[in-house]
Amino acid sequence: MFSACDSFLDTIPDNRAELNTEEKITALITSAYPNKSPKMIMQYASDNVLDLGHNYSSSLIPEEAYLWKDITGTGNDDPRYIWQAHYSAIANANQALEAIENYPEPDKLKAQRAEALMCRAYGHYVLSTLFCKAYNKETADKDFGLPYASKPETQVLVNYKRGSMKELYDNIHKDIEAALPDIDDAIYSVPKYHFNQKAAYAFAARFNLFHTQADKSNYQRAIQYADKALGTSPAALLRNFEQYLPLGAFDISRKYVQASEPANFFIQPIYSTSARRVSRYPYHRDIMSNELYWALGPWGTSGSKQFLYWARKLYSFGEGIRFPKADEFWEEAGYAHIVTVPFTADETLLVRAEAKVMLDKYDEATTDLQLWYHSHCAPEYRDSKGVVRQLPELTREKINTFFGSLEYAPVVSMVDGGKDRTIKKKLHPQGFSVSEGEQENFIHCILHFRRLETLFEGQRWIDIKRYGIEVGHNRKNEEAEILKVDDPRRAFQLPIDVIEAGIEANPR
Amino acid sequence: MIGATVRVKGDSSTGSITNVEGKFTISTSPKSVLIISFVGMKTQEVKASTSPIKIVLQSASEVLDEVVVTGMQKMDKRLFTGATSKLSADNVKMDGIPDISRALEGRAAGVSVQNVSGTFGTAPKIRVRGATSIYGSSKPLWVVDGVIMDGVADVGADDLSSGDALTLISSAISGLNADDIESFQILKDGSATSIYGAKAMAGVIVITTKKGKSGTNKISYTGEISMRLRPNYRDYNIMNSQEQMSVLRELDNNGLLGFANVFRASDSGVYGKMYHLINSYSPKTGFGLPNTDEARIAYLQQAEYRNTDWFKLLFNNSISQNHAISFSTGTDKASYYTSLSIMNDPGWTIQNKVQRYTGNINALYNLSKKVSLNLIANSAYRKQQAPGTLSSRTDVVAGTVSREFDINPYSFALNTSRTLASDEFYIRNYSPFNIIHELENNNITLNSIDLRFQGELKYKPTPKIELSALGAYKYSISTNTHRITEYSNQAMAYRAMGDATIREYNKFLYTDPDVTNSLPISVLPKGGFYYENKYTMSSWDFRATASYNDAFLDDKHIVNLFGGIEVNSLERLRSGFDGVGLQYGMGMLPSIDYRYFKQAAEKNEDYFYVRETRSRDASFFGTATYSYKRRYTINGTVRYEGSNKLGKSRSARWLPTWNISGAWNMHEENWFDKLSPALSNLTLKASYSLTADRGPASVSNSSVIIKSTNPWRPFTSVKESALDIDYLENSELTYEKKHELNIGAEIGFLKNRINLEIDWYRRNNFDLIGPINTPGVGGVITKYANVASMRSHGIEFTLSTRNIRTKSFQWSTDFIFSKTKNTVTQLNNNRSIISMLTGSGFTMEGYPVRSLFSLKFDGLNKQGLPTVINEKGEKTVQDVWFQSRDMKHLIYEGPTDPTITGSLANVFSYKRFKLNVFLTYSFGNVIRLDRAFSSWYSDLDAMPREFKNRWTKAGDENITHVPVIPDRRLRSQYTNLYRGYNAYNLSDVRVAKGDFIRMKEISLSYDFPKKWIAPAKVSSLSLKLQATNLFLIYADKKLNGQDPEFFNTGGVAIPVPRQFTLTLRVGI
Repeated sequence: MFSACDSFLDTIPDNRAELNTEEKITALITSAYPNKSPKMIMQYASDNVLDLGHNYSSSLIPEEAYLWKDITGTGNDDPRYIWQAHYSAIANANQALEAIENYPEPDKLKAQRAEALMCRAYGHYVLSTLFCKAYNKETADKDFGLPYASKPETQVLVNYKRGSMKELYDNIHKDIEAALPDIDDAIYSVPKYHFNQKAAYAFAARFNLFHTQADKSNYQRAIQYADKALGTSPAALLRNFEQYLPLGAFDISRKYVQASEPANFFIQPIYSTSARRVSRYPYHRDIMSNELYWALGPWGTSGSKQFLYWARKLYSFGEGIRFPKADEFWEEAGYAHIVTVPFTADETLLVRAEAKVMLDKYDEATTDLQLWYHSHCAPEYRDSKGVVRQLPELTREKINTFFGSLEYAPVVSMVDGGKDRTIKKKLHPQGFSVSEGEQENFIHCILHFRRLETLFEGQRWIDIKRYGIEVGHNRKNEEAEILKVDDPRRAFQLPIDVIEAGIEANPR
Repeated sequence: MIGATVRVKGDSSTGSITNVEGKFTISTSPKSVLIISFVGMKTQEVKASTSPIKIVLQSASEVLDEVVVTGMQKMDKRLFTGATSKLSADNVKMDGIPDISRALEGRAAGVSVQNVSGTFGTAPKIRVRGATSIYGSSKPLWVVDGVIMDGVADVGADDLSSGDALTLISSAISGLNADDIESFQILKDGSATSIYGAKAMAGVIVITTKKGKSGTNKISYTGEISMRLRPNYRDYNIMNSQEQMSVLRELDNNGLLGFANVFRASDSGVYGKMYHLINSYSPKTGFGLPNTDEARIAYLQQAEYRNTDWFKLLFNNSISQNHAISFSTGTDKASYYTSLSIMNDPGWTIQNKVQRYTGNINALYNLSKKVSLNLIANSAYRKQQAPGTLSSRTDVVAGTVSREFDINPYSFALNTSRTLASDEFYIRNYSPFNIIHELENNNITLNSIDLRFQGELKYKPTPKIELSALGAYKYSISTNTHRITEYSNQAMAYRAMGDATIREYNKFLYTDPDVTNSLPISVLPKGGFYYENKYTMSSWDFRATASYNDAFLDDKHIVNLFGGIEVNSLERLRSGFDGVGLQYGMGMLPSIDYRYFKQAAEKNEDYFYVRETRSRDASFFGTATYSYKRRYTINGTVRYEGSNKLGKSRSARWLPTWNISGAWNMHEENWFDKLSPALSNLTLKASYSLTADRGPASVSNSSVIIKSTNPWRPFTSVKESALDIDYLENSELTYEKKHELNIGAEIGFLKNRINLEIDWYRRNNFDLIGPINTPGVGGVITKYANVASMRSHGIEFTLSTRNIRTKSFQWSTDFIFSKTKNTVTQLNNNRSIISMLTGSGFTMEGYPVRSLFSLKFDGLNKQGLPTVINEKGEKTVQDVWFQSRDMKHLIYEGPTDPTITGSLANVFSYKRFKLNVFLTYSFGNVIRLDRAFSSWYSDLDAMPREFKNRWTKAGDENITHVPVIPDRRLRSQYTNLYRGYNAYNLSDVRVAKGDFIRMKEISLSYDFPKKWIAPAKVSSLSLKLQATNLFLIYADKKLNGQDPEFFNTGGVAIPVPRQFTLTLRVGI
């Protein structure tokens, strides 16, 4: 009688899905992409913003991020949500991987397996950029990593160990390597929202650039993967900025994140209030003029009508300035909807250039940088006196002379208006070395291009960590807050709930 | 009567006991005399006979009911060891209140009934001995004629007070005709409910409907005519139009009602209307209003003396009627009961109407002496109308609960300025708005059918053994249609784009992201909406039981055995769609703009949905009772239950529940006679039990729950469907459980003229579903698992006295008291403070299960703005983060569920008159007052009179707590002032006590003498006049007329009205 009852009681209580078809397994991996991002915290931790003082308001997260405190503010962008969203994406990947293993013909699902592995690697990677120190091959076996989730969790409370940074990055590396050969765009109905070939190789390239190895094999792989992502004519993939010139902010922001844009390799819709104005910690004119779009660069000084396209389409944002590439779509029930583009052709090109520089291939790096330079700058402009000015050429020599002669910026700006700021900061690479002279000059150039390319996306914070750049955060009428090279605060603290549940906290 | 002792006079060796049907056989000489005795009854002597004899015992005094109906079996009350109350429907039925669950208020010790809304179909919040779960609903199980009744939709306890349209179908028994009910049996402790085991943690209410009785032939008619009183502004503390106008003038002087502010405002009243008139010109009539000071003053003066009575306009004194007719007939072979009822309620408000029809057949046929068949069919149809409403939403950042397009007549009348004219259109959502017009053009129709068919076959191979098989099928369907015509404000708001400013700010317009340089447009250029939601439930139950009753060795030993199996299946389907662009005035022709769907797709909104849930239960149960000489009784019950909700693994799926209990009937002891007559009856009982429940419906992740979803995508071109893990697997999921110790006594004094029933209990609820923080590496940080626990204890008693008993005058009193207190002992509260501050509040360790907290009000500042202590412990005007989880600085106000409830009933009868005075009371809970204060008022709003004492000049902060009406300067100085005023609304000064004593019912009835009515062939005729819900004898003054039971949440919620009912009962 019990067995009869048991089969009666096996009825599924609701319309939950069972992973028994290829379509359903494929559909589950669509949820293996995180819908949150650490970009808000990273933006305000970086050197792209400054403090205007008590008279201006800020919500808690930007304020705490600016001061590199443990984040206690809550909302779409808090560490708890970020942690959960990424591990939840990973959980979907793991559930799919388990279903693939149990599927009668697992070989039919190779491409799905590859996507799931890629997602698992990506989720862990993004978390490491916020909660761990930069990968440092000298200390990686001692630095805190993160628990690598590799199978579905079925019990209420499971104990995990953080493991080392080396273990974490080796696991990510293993997943990426296992996935890459099988990535197949044919299984996607909307490839740009998945790890398509280009996106997968772009991620592999960036990851390898960061995952430094003693034999520099990582740079070889970074170049090789970037080649795959960029194809034979990268110029055709780079963003065409001319298209934004006739548009207003609303239309630019919508156009920037279109799947039809060739430069967009991978598009990620997320919930974040990072596109909102924070009056107290803006992307202020002082920084804009001296370190960002308007700063002196290889193209000369810039301004609203000059070479750099970005500089021509800036909008005021309270006390700050923005290029409308990541505006909010709408908010509903506390969820602010925005769209980010974590991998683009332009950024991948800079990854390749950096890897080439690390292998001392300066001519090849110059070619990549020139491509970037010409797609981001207008060939000429008419100045206020009506004179037509031609864009100066970017050559290996120009990079060396321009960045070689530039003063290092002070950690804390001491001059009103930030006139002592420059686009060159002292480097303390973490676990690798940059030789003085040409290599350093090229790295300064690449870091500046990356900073502009990924502005408003928080990526600058990762470069600050990788290169051990010291950051001085000005405080109005107070002593500046300084982030030293070996400051433990470069790894943001884990969510308090997670620590209380038994995961080791970052040292403070 | 079961269990009556039959002895032969002068022969102590022969005896018998009556069985469940009250029958007995005895072998003795036909000449002997039988002595029939039963506790509380006069002992009778009858001559034995060879043919069947009928013996009617006379009550020795007023006695306790003799049978306990558990819904599964009937038991001799003296052998029943659990805590229970039996209510006869005749005594508790409240005429003119068609939903019988409301009639239980104050009628049984330990049962609290809170009328959170008075709208028909909305279940009151019923608690048997308080809450038993933190996240679960704690709703008692309803059992009608042995069959569990489930609602067509599963509405959680906190949602009952939401005012959302779903509450209209939250009552599982709204289809029952009150006149069909014979009795209620409320099973309270774990011993009484243990036969329901893993379903009955929150108590069981067993309803028995009427059956035909053998030897009767009767037609009964009951007609009720009820009239409700309109609410009256006298009872509330709302400004009249003169007072309101003086405030508006102040706002105007502060520059808040100038042309620029009001003309294009999304909501405006008298001032907005004035500016629109000034600004309108027609070639025929000229300007709507001349733009002169005199004209303005005259216009505003008109408003000043308008004193519109919204209650009068929106409420009716209409008559509602309820007619029920029943036939009942029976012979030894068969008996029937049939009834029909019609209820017609034309509505207390102008947009609340109900019609209900019920039909009921209950037939019993004795196929042979050993076999009987009982068939029951029950049907109900309901058609109901209510004001249109959308579901409410909580804005966690601002700390407000809001409902778009709310047109609830009750809250409208309380919140709308009395300066407005009832026939004018003002502005709401940038569109013309008139409440009467809107109610006509925006309403909900509910059509609901409940059917129940059941049959029970009983077989008695011997008098001691009974086998029974019961099968039942239930089906309910409820279709909820929300019609929003193209003339309604709600539809027009979707196309309000009068000028560029409105176009920019109207949030119901849509900007197409795919069209460059596009302006906001309407996605509803024509027509209105037609929202339909449909709920269906179908279920079947099967139960087979066997019972064995025996008494042997001169009745010294009595044994009852009962056991059986039960299988239930229940399926619910919920579906709905948003009909868009329906042109009501054009013969219901839809006019669809594809951009509506484009926007919906971009916003990730589904325009239709289908949701199914299935529940399957199987259980085995047995109970055994042994009694020695009826003095000492012990009872044990075991139930073994399985459910499909708790996973495929056997360990989690199957749960044994049990109870062990005993009773000592001291009055059966030989020495007890010495105490008589002072003490006439004394029983002591004790029980200890384990019962359970499946926990909140939302937690069913015994296996991983993967749901389909449409991930948000910014453009329709990149949309795709996905699957997503909704809940991770919890292989350890189990039932919520409860251990309960109950000790009770029943004491009768002075030949039972005074009866006291008293119970004390202690409950330990464990394995409750609660949140637990995990490392989150599996994908979820906070999981819901069986990790919480709580304790409760309480005492309850019923004191019944027959104060005066003379032939023509009788006076009896029942005093019912119950007190319950619960404390959460283990819970990881991860809520934000907003959920602790609003509605029914929430809880944390060491506090009752629903506790209300407040921000600490810290006085008005020098500008008259309210300050509170925020989550960081700082004094602040507006810097409050409602999503904070730091509870340190909150003030505990008290539980939102009452801790003390009860009633006092006095019945006086003089000859044929009967006067019933019934008071209910409730103490111990707190209530959040209505959100009266805001950083911004429009000329639509009505204000409470407290505003007269508001801060107006420096120094007032020392004498008043009522904040200033902020002017423009303050509002630009404090950009988040709305948050500050919400914080004030959520502070400790805006909390009242929920205590009340209510004059629930006064009724006078008259039974016409037989000799008057006999010539008309009428066997009984009575007339009753009843006043229900007349007034509050005591309530907190801070409530200003607000009903302490009622949650004014808008939507479809309206309070229980005052009403007068005239009832005519005729028996033929």
